[in-house]
Amino acid sequence: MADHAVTRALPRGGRPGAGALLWRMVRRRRVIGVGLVVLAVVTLAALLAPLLSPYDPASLDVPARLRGPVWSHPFGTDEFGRDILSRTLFGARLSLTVGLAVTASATAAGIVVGLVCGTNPRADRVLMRVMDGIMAFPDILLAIALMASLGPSARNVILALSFVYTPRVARVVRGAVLVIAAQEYVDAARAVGASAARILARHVLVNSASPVIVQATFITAYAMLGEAALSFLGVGIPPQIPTWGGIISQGQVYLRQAPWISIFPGAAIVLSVLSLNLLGDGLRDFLDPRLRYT
Amino acid sequence: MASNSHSRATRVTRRRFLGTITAGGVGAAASRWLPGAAGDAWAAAPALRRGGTLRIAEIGEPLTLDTTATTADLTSTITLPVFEELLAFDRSWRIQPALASGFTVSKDGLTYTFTLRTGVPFHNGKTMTADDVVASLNRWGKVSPRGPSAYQHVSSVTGAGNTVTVKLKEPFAPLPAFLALPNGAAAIMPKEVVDTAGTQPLKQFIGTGPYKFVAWAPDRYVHLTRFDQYAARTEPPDGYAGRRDALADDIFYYPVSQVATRIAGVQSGDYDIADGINQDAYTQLAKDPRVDVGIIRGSFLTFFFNKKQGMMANEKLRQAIAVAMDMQPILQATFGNPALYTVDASIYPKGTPWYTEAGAAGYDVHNVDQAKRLAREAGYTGQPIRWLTTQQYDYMFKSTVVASAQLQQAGFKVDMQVMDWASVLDHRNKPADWDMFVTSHGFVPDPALITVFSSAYPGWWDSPDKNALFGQFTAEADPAKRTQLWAKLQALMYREAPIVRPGGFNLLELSRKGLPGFRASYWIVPWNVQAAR
Amino acid sequence: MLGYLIGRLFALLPVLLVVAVVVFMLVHVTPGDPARVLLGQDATEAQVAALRHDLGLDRPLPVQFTLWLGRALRGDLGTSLFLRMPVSRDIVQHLGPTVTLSVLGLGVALLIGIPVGVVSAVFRNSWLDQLSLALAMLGAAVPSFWLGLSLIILFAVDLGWLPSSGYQSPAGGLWLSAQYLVLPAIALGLPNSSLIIRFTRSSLLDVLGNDYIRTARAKGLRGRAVVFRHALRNALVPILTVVGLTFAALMGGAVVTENVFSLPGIGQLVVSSVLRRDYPVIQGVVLMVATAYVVINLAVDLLYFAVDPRVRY
Repeated sequence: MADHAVTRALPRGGRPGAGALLWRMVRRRRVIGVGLVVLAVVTLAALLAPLLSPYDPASLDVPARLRGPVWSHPFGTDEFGRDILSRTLFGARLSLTVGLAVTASATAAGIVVGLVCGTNPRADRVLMRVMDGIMAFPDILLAIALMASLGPSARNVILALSFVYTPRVARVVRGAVLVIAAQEYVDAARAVGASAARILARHVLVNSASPVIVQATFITAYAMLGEAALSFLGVGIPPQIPTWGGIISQGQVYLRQAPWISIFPGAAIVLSVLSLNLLGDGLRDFLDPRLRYT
Repeated sequence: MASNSHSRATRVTRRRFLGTITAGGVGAAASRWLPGAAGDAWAAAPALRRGGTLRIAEIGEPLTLDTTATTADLTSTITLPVFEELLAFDRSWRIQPALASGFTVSKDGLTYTFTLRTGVPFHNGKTMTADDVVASLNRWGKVSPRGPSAYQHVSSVTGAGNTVTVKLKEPFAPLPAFLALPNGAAAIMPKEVVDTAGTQPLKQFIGTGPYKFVAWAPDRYVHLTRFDQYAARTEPPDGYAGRRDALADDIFYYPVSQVATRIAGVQSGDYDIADGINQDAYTQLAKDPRVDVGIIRGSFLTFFFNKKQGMMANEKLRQAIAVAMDMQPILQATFGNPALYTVDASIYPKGTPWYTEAGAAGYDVHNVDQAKRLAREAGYTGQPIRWLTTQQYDYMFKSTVVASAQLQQAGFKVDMQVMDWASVLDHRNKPADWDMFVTSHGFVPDPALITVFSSAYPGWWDSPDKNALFGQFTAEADPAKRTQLWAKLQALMYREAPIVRPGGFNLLELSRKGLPGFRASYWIVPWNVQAAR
Repeated sequence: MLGYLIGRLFALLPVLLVVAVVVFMLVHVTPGDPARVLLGQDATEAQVAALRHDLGLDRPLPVQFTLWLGRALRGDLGTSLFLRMPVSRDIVQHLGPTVTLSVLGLGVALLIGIPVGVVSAVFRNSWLDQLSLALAMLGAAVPSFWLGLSLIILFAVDLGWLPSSGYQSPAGGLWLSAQYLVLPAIALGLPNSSLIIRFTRSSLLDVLGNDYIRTARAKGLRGRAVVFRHALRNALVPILTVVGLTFAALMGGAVVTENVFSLPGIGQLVVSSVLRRDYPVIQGVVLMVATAYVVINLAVDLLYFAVDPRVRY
């Protein structure tokens, strides 16, 4: 089963090309392919939003407010007469940016903290207590409190959610470092005179990559849902900026009267989160069969 | 009521009871009370059943139940059945007696003498005396956000027997209106309760009303129950005045912060009444056989300028902004149905004695060229206008979105700062923090109660012309002269542009279909309403 | 063992101190003034200043922090600025709905998760398996407030089967109380069932691949009996660990659910306290939640010790 695939796939000795690796992954676990395709479509929509959008997402047309889907407005209009299709396309930019930026910064911060903690017992004692402290909050509560003090802006949403998710990555990395540091081949590397930095880069990082990548896909999904929840509670990205979460939460008042406002961006969130989860699951199965769920 | 602290949508009763509004205080202040003079046929309601529980969905959790210490409408609504004042407004916003049986004003307008009703019990069993009234009024003068603006004219308040005498330093005609308003209310409570609280928030909620306080379970409910010893007036019920009959055994106010949930709750029969319904839901709810929608007229939207500091201290630039706006789309996007807003220069709705078109030339000009010229003359070169708004109150956010889009098109740069309401309140008191903010103003029976004209209110309209004219207005006792002065004040408001007033709007209240005895009103009146079994 | 326990307890203190400092800072650097919120927008500056003084908000922050921490160490979390009642009582009052909702949500998640997981393991790689996995993932991808509002519109407004919102304490009748919690529990539990489906499926598959199951089959036991009598029981242990994880997630998710359904729980308490800047309540709740989390973690560790004699510290 997949066990054999991993030993072959993991770039321990000679590295296969990234394309070839990807192809092998997709062929072995089709869900990865599905996830990638959907994400590619969403990314394209985000990149090409200015070209694809029939209207300026911020331009108002009050007499045409709350119209259902018609040819001129395929996704309908909201309470200001703004075009939902255009807002959903531009919303993809913000929602993806939040998802990816949170993932990038939480992962980067988590790796640094995890490496420091895994290699320096004194720092470990202090930093992991702080991480435990952060983990001790329910994540959405912590994000609410942070947003209240930082004030609403896209940057602050990213900051708050990154702060919330950093300890998850830190734990994974620290765990990996502790396990790997005890492995014989690290001792061997040390014996032949490899520097600490080289050992970290060459062995520890490479070998903790798979759990971190898997964790990262889930963080992206959490961040996108988290952004939506913050918008719903009124402490998210300023509502004049179109994000999927923001459009849905503004549309929830009209759920009965104008369901199209929340249905289309809602579907976009569901699809994106779904494909991220598929991707994460697929990667986990492929990279680390011990954690597999199938 | 005044500039909302809690968004609600609007209300006029089905009987359209504001249709005959008269100026509170105008008729009353000049002469002696004729109790029972008001009231007409509709008040003779058919016999309604007693018993049951009234369930009211409110817009959130009250911040306090100290009805004196805050002007938050939510607090006023929940405490309305508990506390009473010396006077009360009828459905035409005329002043009627409540705990006072009547009052007289001296010729010079400097002495008000209130005669108290006798044998009125408090919820703690004690009977109301002049001492209680004096203590309550004095606390109101210090603690109520409305108190100081009346008390600055007061030289002494004394009680003897069953009369209370208020002596003034100079004539202040709106005094009865201040004392009748159930918002930041001059509520009468036992002296011991007042003394215990001092300037701190109340710890006991003991009034003379038809319902007494039972329990406040935070985030769950506020529970009131019938006060069996209640000393009701005998006049027919009329607005907030007249007979108050506690038909329901109990009243529960539930905090339901999501408006969609409040609506769903009345539709499914879980609540009898819901407050603060978004105006966009009107068209659909009006067709719904399960509910009645009540409309309350008389509120108006306000965009305040910072006249103390920054670019908006320049009158020309304020005028430029006012001229750039097109009111119809702002109101339509904010309130939806044309039945729920009015594009009209008068601050007071048609049919009220305060109605006037004075200054209309400065209202809803919508001339982008003129706006650009004025902005140029004011030396405006594209500095961002910092505009505070909140999403916590739907209409504040919506109106800001549309108005700022219009300003952008007219060449202004708007920096819309969306924050929670607590932050708006904080920032707008710091002149360095902002250029504009949005809020609204509820119907007030006397223009002296409108916060726009207060020099101390954020925005700080402190021009010599305004101060002189407003001083004349509050000192004048003659109703005819007061309406003339009011027209001048309104015209001045459009000329000096301390605010932009996009227009008037109505609030909505939702109730179970055919809830017997219920009429929508600014603060929900739960007495004389028959609850479900 | 005792030494270990004492060591662990001492290690908790810095974590809680970190939490306390972070929360206090967070709350007090937030713009917004409870005195102004309380008085309403028509209050004068003098009145606001007077109330700030009465509430002790005009003292320097380090002084306020020391006072608060000193009292908190003695178990006194202070008094709510708005509700005028001890914060601890406030928390206790709000705990019931949150715990009940989380337990019911967990029930829903298990009720959906375990049967679906079993079916999908038994019919591995069939269309049924694919379908249940797809549904599980779909459930996890729907924003919870959206799900909640849709449930209200469908089951409370259109069908009229269940109450739309609100809370009835179980003291006033279990059945009535349960009716109010059905929709919230579904809105909370459904998205969280996906993890349980996947865990059940994988651990069941692991067990089904074991020798003793093959032996059982070889002895001629029918498929269903094998699954229920042998496999599921052994698969439950790893499932139980994920239940703990899910419960923590549910307590967090309850914030949004409580808001949608107007449930007077801890989440509502925090959201409304943040909006009105009720500092003592925010600080108290967060400290309490963090302490509970840390203590539960410790208890779980000790439980392993009790259950598995091989574990030694």
